[in-house]
Amino acid sequence: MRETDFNVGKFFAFIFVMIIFLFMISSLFEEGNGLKLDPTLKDIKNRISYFHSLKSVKESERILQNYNDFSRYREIVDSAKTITLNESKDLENGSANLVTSIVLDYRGFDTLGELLVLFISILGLTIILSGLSFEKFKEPSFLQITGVKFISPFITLVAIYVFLHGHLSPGGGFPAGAMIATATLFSLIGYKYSYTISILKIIESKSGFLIVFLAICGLYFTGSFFSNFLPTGKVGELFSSILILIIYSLVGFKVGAELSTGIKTLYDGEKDANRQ
Amino acid sequence: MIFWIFIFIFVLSIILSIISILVKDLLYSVLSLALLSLITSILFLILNAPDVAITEAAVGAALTTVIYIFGIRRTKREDE
Amino acid sequence: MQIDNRTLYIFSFIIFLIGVYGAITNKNLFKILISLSIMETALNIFLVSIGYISGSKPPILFSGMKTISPTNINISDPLPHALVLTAIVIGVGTTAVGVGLAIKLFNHYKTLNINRMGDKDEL
Repeated sequence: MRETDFNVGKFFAFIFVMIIFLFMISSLFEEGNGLKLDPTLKDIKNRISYFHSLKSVKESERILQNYNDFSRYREIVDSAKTITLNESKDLENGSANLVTSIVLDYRGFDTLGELLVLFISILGLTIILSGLSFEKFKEPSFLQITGVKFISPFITLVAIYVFLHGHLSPGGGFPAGAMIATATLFSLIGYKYSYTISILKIIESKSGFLIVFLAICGLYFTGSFFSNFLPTGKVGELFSSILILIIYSLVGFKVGAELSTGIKTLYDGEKDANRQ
Repeated sequence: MIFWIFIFIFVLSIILSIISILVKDLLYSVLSLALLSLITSILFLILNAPDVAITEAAVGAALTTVIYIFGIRRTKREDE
Repeated sequence: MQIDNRTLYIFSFIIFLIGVYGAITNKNLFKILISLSIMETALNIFLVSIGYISGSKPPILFSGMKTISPTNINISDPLPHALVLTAIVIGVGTTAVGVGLAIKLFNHYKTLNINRMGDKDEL
């Protein structure tokens, strides 16, 4: 009896999912309402990130304020300038990676909120797991200790490379933080002694404070939050956008410390974590 | 050529997601989820998003798997 | 042969609905969390495929693509990439919270099956 009930439930779930699928598909092929496939969006000139890509957001804002009319759109498009690697200098931000310039300059406030969400979720994890004490894992074997000692510095080195070159190559603070957390996980598995939560707390709080401080400096010097107030050099050099370099390093440390705290809590339990 | 790579990725990721919701052993389920993340990161690389690809490879294949495995180690491995 | 955006949308819908099916039919807490992770992956694919423009290059100035200008701009949309980049990292945090909740519930009820959790009613 129970078995047949179970199968009927699965059957109805399948029917339900297929109905939703047909609904979504029909919204794709329909004219009019729904998720439209606008053919003009094939050209990036009709998307908003065209100005982000050409680093001409402030110019386009100025033109829009002067004319106060969106029919001047084509003029704004044509006023955008050319950007050449290793030649253009003194742009709005000197990042060669356009995704990084969006993440940390044009939409920096978004990133700040994301860091806050990550912090709150890790805080919730430690609060949920408080009062539980886990059994210890087994002592690491010789092979684990040797392998971890070999591979853990390389992972940390790659992480440092990735967040220092976040404005030049793919990567940045978020994957670098994940790599740092992986390296600390290896050190948890392999070494008998390991890092403590208090060090991670210091790193996390200091880097978070510095990010907000730099953002407020941008507000003070240029008038908008998370704006670039340091000089930008040529596009494509390491010190081409110093502010993005600093903030991405801090983001890497912050994300790495938060994720390491989560993993350490799941590994040890809250009681051991509190004892330092 | 790129079309057949797309078809391969589509079929493999659908198979992996079906495996990860149907299999009874939770460890196999988590491992197929990690493989799904790797395949997805290859798809992101083909779709001109190398930033997203490197993040997905670092996060989805390593950290999510480790968190799930710690959770399963603290509880029970078998479904039901 | 180029791939169409519509094909990518349908693919992400299929993966998403597999996740929905797993979330509403499974009884194990970890299976439900894994289904939610599959749905999250499908959403990331959907957002990235919105930004995909076929025949374009990645939005990075490198030695293969040295210059962009209003007349010569052939890149994918970088804005969905920035959104997905942060969404993936948030996904880890929420997954960790879910796993912590599952551990806490297992310690209380000694089972992961959500149908058997109400058997021990006296809290």
